[in-house]
Amino acid sequence: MATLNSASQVLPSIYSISSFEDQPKMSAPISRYLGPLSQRCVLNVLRHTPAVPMACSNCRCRQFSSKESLTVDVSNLAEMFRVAKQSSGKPLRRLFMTREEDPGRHTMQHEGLFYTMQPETHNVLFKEDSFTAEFRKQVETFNEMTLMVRRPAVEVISYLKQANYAYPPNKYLLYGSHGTGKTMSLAHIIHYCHSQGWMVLYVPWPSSWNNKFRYLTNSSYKADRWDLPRESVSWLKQFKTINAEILEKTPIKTRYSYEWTKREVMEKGSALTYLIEFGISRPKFSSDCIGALIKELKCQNEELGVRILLAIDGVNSFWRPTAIKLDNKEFADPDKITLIHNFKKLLQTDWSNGAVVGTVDAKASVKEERASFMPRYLLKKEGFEWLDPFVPIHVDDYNDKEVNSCIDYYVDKLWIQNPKALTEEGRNQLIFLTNKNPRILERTAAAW
Amino acid sequence: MAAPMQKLSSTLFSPFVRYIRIHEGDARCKISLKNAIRHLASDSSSEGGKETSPISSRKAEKISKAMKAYLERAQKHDEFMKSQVAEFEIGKRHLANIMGADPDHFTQDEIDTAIEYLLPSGLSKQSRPSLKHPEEVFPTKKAAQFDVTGRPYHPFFYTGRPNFYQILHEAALKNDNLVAEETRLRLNKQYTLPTEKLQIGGSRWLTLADLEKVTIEKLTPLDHKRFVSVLERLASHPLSLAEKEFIQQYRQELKQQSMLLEPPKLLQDTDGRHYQEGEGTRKHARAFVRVWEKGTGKVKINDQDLLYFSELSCREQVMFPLTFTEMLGLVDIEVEVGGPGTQAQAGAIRTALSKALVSFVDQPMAEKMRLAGLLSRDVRRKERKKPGQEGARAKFTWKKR
Repeated sequence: MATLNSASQVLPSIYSISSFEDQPKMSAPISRYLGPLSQRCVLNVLRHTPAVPMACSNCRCRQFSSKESLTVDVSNLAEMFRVAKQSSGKPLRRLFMTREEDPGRHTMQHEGLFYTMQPETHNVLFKEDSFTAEFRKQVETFNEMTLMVRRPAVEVISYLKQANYAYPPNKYLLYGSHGTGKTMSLAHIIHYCHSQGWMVLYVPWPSSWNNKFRYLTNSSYKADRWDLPRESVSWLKQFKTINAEILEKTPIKTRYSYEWTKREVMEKGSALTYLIEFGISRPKFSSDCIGALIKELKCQNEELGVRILLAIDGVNSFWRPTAIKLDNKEFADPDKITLIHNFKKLLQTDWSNGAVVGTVDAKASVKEERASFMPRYLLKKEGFEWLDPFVPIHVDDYNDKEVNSCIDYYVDKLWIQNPKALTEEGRNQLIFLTNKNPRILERTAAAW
Repeated sequence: MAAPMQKLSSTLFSPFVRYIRIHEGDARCKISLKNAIRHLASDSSSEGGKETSPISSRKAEKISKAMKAYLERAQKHDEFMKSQVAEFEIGKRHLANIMGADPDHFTQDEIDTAIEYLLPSGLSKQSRPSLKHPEEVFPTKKAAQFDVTGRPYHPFFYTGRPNFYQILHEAALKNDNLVAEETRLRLNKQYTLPTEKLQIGGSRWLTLADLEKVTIEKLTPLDHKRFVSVLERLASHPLSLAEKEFIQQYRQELKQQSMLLEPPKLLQDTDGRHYQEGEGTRKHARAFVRVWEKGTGKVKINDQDLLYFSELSCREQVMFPLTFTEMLGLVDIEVEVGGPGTQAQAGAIRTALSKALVSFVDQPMAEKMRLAGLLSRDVRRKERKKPGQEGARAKFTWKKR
């Protein structure tokens, strides 16, 4: 589908990460309970053969690399875990969870396992308007933020690791039906980039700019454009918190001078943090400040060695009609909103040393245009041509391993309490009824 | 002698006759009820014979008013019935001639088919034209319950429903006798629990309508309840086998029947994989289901997955036959469904799926499915809207003015 030169360089090597398939598969129930342990080392235990030490590098289960702990009887699973707990410093936390909290080290061996995002990270990265209301509520209820390691995110992270950043940015578009986990995969990717010291430009749900704006003002720069001061200020604040560390480490100076009013002039060479602060304190110019920020970053990031991630949830809303009614009784183009106009510039390929990850979501389109979840349908011709070339990545419902792991997690969190749901039959019914859809599973499990 | 008998007779003819119990052990009145009635009958006849013979002979000449009225009524009824029978006979012969059949051997079945042919009607069965023997059409009437002097034949005449109370009375009496017999055996230490007991499993008590036919009396549901409780008590007595004949009179044999037909044989596709098809309807929705063996629980509804139904309850409807037969995750399902209403569509799929699954399960499970109502159509339909109302039941908002 996408054949940009830089993307095609990356593509052939991607499937090397799926080494999980190459290994002999274990029966489903055992693999469910042996979640966090490395597959190969567990297999070795099952076969009474010494484990290879390097096999354990992924899951930190080094206890199995020592020879004496390998003589555990296969039939006695409890005994095996007892030994595992004794030999490792920390006890295994949960069988459906991995202790590997660095997204850079997640591989397909961790597929279906949850990892915890520390509060200090997710409080910085994700504000109130990130994610769905249901997930925010879940984080609040469970008092922890856990993400499942899934193929789409692992795939994109592996691309990001291998891409050539001298070229224009690669664009990765996550697509899939409602509730399959596009946003959560995006969160996983954002976490990876943040942990790698990237500058993250995260736009949680731009669809709300089109129709749920709170204040609408005429642009101070162009007469026929509109500014969304509140949205702009909150985005600038969010940008400031996410990238506080980088902004502190690498002082960036502006290359252009900006004249906001006759009195308020920002000379060439003033600090970027000053630009951000100015936008926050003067909402009237906040939308244009974002434009200036994008302009500065685009031309400077390669020199400064700052990699940029642009993460947009529901990017198809950039081509969705707005709710702004014009005098001729027509609705304004989305380009007429300064924010959208500015972020669209980052979707072009005239810059480098960065990446664009977005999702296309039917919910970000108007109601009449939600029949399919495919990118070409949702972006329409215009949006598709604007983004082309991109790497489409399908986010599907859970597979067997993932759904069982998820149910285990809900049971552990007492999200599922009905004793009948804890039986094998109840579990099968739950899987059947929800069709392994993550969102529906969460909703249905809430009632069980 | 005369005084207690008078008292007894007055009580006896009260409608509460079933409450009269004169026990063997009662010190005040050591005679059984049966004896009392016999005594009463002989007493009254002897009294009538001895003392009131001149009066009774006079009464014989002078018919009582009630009898007179009855005789007139009976005569009228007889005449009416006679004319009706004659009319029926002529009508029947006429009909036979029309149909070109032998009038002398024209049976009731032939009458029915002839009328259905000559006068086709779309009305309900009760409203269609018919020709039946008058005895079937007009209810049978009781013959005179009293003699020419106006004296009732039946001791329970004044209860208003003598035949009904006769049954209760007999049943109670028989029960008492059984209790007495049991007591006697126990006192003599000869009593052992009988090995053979009365088996009334495959039958049921007469229904209210049947009982009305037997007694030729109008009865209420409460009467029927009494009847059942009295006979139930008799039947539950350990020695009730002795009264089998009496009890069996009031019981109706139940016929064993199963509606299940032989399930269709499994079909086979070109790959040798077995499958079965089923169709189902609910309201105006129709579903066509194909179930494949050796599956992994895949569901395809109109080329979508199970989330075709956004409501959980609809998905549960689809799941129910699978959990009932314990086939969840063992078969693949392909559905084509159409028609208005998601719930109706889900219901149609449920029936269609069950019909297809019958071929995969054994006979006892198929019978269970039938009894659970999985194989039959849900006959409920939308209730029509009524004029002058908001909907089927809902009324318009009431406003005072």
